[in-house]
Amino acid sequence: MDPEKHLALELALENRLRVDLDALAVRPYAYYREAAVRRIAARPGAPFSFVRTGATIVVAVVVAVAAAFAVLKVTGPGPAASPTPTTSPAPTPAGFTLPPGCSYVGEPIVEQPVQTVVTTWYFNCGAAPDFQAIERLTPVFAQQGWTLCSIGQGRGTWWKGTLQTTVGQSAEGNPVLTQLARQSQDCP
Amino acid sequence: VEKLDDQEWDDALEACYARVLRALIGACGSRERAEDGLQDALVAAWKPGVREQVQRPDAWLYRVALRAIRRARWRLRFDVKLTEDVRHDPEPSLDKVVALELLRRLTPRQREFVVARYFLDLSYREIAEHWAVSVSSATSTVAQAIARLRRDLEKEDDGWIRRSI
Repeated sequence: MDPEKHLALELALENRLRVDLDALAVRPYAYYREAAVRRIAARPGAPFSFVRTGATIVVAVVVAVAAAFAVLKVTGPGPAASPTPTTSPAPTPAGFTLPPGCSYVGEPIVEQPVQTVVTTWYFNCGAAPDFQAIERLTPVFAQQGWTLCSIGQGRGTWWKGTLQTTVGQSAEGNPVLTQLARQSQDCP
Repeated sequence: VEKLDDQEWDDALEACYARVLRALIGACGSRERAEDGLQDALVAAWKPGVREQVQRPDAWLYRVALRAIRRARWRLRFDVKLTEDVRHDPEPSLDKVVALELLRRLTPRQREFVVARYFLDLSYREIAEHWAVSVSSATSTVAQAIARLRRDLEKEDDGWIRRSI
């Protein structure tokens, strides 16, 4: 191509891109930032954290069993120890009960990916993957006093009081329900 | 690279996010996918050790977001879209944006490079570094894009492109 024409077209294209794309409206940065933070917090599946949590539990059990054997071998059975208070995740989400026909699967997972503690439950309503999970739970949340924040992209979020709860459905495995402290007054 | 604290890093991202988002809309032709990609890139930007390696946050966000958009394409087929996010404002249609109509004539790679070069002002060397291609490959991809537009322009003499730019 003639270099002069090439340059002219380049300049024209550059100008057109600047004029048109700069004219596109964008939402405030806080919107995307909050969405990113929520995405970190409510990442559905969270496979690696699940593996990490699982591995931690296995290692803890092995160490505890080994320690118990060591103590028994050295000192023999002694008087029963007093129970030690432990902190464990809530067995079910606060302020929300699954409808009949649905149940939680496995133990809840507690994470703290950002400053907020996030608890995740897997649940099952008879199908996995479950592409109807959000649709099925939407009226249940409303009946139990939760206010809808947003639904879309395979995620639904509700708030009540100081809590927000997100249901995530995906093409793999059981849907997840994630609960954390409410992130902003206008809901995420 | 000087290490930025959280606030400085947040400021750096805020300073360029709008430009990156517009560039992404140009490159993928969809506001929704562009926003999704930007959010993925912002999530990645907060991972430990990332900011120390980033010379140009805008170029880095753009590249990472484009990768996320490509990865998400197959996933979108399985996602059940119930309703639009209720907080979303009404979005203007992108159908009439001339620049996007021009960019649609190019291949995805050409679009990415053209937007990076002419909208984000990345040098060919910077494009080459971020896309892990040679400088000559970046240069020729953009040149091919320009040539393609030129051919269309000549084919449609006095036509749409000539009136547009």
